[in-house]
Amino acid sequence: MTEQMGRFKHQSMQDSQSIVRYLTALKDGFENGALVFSTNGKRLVLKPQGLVNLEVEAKRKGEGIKLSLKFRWTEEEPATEEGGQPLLIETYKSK
Amino acid sequence: MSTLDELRENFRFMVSAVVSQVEQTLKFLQAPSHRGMDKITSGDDYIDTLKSLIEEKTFQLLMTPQGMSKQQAALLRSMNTITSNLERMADFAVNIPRQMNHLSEPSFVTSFGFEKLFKEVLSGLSHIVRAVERRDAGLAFRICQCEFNLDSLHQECFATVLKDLRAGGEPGDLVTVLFISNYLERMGDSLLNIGEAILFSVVGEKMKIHQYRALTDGLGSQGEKPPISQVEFESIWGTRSGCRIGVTRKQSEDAARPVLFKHGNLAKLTSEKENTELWDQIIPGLPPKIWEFQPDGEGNGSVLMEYLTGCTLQDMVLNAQEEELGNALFLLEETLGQAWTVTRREGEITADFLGQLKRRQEAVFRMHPEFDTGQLGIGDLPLHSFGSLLGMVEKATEGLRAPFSVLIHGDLNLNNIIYSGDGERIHFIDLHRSKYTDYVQDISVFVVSNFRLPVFQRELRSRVDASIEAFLRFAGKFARVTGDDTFEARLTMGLARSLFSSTRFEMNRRFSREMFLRSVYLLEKLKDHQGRPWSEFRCPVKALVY
Repeated sequence: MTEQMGRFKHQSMQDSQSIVRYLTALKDGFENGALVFSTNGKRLVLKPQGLVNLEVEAKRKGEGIKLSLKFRWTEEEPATEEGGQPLLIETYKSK
Repeated sequence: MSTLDELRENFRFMVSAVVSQVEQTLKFLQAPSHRGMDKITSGDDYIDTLKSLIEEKTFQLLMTPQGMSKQQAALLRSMNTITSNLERMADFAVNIPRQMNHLSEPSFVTSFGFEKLFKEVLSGLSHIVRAVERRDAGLAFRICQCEFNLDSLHQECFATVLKDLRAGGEPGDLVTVLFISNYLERMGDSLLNIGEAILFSVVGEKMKIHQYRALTDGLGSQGEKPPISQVEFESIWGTRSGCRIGVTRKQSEDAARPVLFKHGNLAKLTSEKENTELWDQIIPGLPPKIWEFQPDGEGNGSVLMEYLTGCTLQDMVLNAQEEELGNALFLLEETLGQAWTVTRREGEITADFLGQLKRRQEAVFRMHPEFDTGQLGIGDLPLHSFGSLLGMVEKATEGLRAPFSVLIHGDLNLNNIIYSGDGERIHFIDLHRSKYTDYVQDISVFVVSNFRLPVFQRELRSRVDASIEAFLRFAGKFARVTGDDTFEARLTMGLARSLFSSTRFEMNRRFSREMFLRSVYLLEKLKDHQGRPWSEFRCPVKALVY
């Protein structure tokens, strides 16, 4: 089984054509229900379920522009990469 | 009183405390007494305290958030080094009276002429404050000279002791004498370190004293052996390539002829000499004249060459009036256009940009381990490691070669181009990498040497951007005229290579990351072009606008 990791980070320089590839990869992940991030064979699999808090922020400071997209959600248990596991349904415990 | 003024005062006290310590030691040697010993011991405590104080203040100043000029920082660093060496000298001074206990008769030492050694030490010490305050290289050299004098005095003492031992002298006494002489000789080592530290504060570059010796030899064999005081270091150009360069001016009655002195690896200096001569045949006066060339028999050599007056193109980009800068860039373009045309040799050639890049990879990753990210991915989108990206670009660009070769400078960065003081011409310096290859190598090195200037203020940055753009326009025009239709693809490789390797010298993490990411961006563009004709490739020059 592939090793899991808790964090993924990547930084690169793109232009408006090449950046679309990244957005498409994220879009595909959301559509398939799993976003898979990998680093040297280790994987971080995120499965957005339920409600996703989406924050879009755009700002201009002089010549510098920043556009950030932030997605936040909670997962009941750590996601595994195996897609075909039986689905466990649990009752929510009151906090 | 500012911290710097306090520091200067502490420093002066430190020097005079060590002077007095050495004087007390000499007195003790001549007439030992308990009182004398006590004085020396308490003097040593005072010196230790001063040393800590100076150390603390220099670090405090060096850590000042608003920063300081390079010259000031060099001064503080050298004061710190001097202080450490002074403290060591004071320790040696304490050790000498302690040795006296081992003598059967204290007056035994009087016949060994230690006064001469003390005189040398005190003479070296007497120059320190003035040399530091006036940034006087001549005085610094005199301090260094004490080490050589002390060495030979110690040798004399050593020889006398050996002779006396053989003649059946008292071994205990003679060994003690040798120890005393040895402590004085080690004070000389400290004086040498002090002299070198002062030179560092004057010229802003670490220098080893043998460079000065080679320098005087060089001047000497031209028929005039000047005393050292006539050799005056005026400024320095530090390079990152392992050679250290100083500028000296010979002061003779008729005319002052400034000469440039280089000491370094012999093979490197030899190729510099040969290339300089080659360039001089192609465009007379473009490189500096070579006056003297001297191998030193230890794999090093020295060159004395013409000191070209004027400013480097880097100074021009940063400081000159727009018009002057425009003129300098125009002269550079004229010169390159002429050189490329005259030296053009038919036949394909490769500068092997990717090979050059690979050879720097280890050094870059050692400096910036965070660039070595490994293989990443987001879903089906692979984000290649730098190494595998390089492999793909190598495959994609296989067979991509320049249609002809020209004689290139080999390290055409802004600091290696001098704009003459009269504004009439430019000169090339540091030609040891010059050879016949793809002219794109010089273009990319020049462009990146502009880009990597740590200039972030908008107005200045736009000057840098403009100089890059103008130069690329000129280079592109040359390519079009010569029918070089893969120019832009090779330029992209060259730029990626220079951006990547420049990160080795960039300590500003943010800026070095910028350069690295731009290098990767250019490599990605080359990789994506695989399978299509390289004549259709366009260099994304926006990657060179910061």
